[in-house]
Amino acid sequence: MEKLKNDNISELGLPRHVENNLECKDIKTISEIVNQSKNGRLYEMIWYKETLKIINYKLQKYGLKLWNYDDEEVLSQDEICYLYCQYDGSDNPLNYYGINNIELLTSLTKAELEKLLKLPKYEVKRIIETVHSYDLKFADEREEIISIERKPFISLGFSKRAIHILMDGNIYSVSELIAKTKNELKKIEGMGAVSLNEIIQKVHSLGLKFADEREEEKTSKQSDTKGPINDGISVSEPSDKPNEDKTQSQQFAADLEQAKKEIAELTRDIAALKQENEMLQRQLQDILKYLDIGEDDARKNK
Amino acid sequence: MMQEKINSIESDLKSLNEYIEKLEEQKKQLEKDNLKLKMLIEELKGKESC
Repeated sequence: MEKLKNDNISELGLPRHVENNLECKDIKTISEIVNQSKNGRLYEMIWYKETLKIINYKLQKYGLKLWNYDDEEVLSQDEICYLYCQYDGSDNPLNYYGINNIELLTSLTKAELEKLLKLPKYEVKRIIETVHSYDLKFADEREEIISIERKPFISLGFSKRAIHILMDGNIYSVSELIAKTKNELKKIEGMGAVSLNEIIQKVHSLGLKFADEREEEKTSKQSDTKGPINDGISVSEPSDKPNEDKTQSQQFAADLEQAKKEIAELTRDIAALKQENEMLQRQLQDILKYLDIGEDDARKNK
Repeated sequence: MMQEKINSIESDLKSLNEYIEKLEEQKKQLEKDNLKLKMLIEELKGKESC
């Protein structure tokens, strides 16, 4: 167990975005973290579980802990490395692009890290240094070839919309995706015909198949080996086309409704954020004016 | 004819999806900007009280 030199949160060596998050909420000392966890207020201010995990992990090094905290899971070195790679807490690009663990992150090349995640150069440098400090390597630094199934969706050309829908369905990697059937994908909230079609085509273009497709293939191979059971005259079933068209147009109508709803929500959110932005800009101007006036007074008194 | 209609609707829906992506990016950017402004204001408030 290590000893604390002082009560400042910087002593804990938390990831920068976690420190900023705490300071934004006026929590500047370690005692405050512990006290706020005792009275439960910490969990009203910070609900992002990865943030709470890393805080608890760091406190434990000094014989302290979060009170009323249920998660006793031990963090692995890989998880800790990933937490230190995160950019802005709940707003970080890694989460935004569905890269939710260190394996997906390090399956990228360093060039992909910069280009695909659109991170500033200093952030790319920081993430690379963090990964190296945990003796891990990016794809272009390793001798092995990373298989497609281990790469994140963003590096394989999936659209952001498709990635977010898959994240809503708790699917973060290609291997998790192809373990599903197409019917299971249809049931994911927000999965419309266009997105489903895009995902299916993308998987096929990578030379992969869904669980139901692999099962069908297996079944048809088995029936082929048994030999023909009729005299070769095939009887085709009556066409279901009119019913298919009706279902498809219902699906399109549902997709359109869903898209309109999302656009309306996003437009409202953006309007509220713009209002907040204007208010913050005004606040900033007032403070800067006050600081200028304060300095002027100080000069006059001299 | 029917297939053309279907293709046209699919293309419209694709454009809507792209528009939704742009709105989501705009929202993310505004959230980031607001967070930075809040942090800067907090920092300056600290100087103000000094």
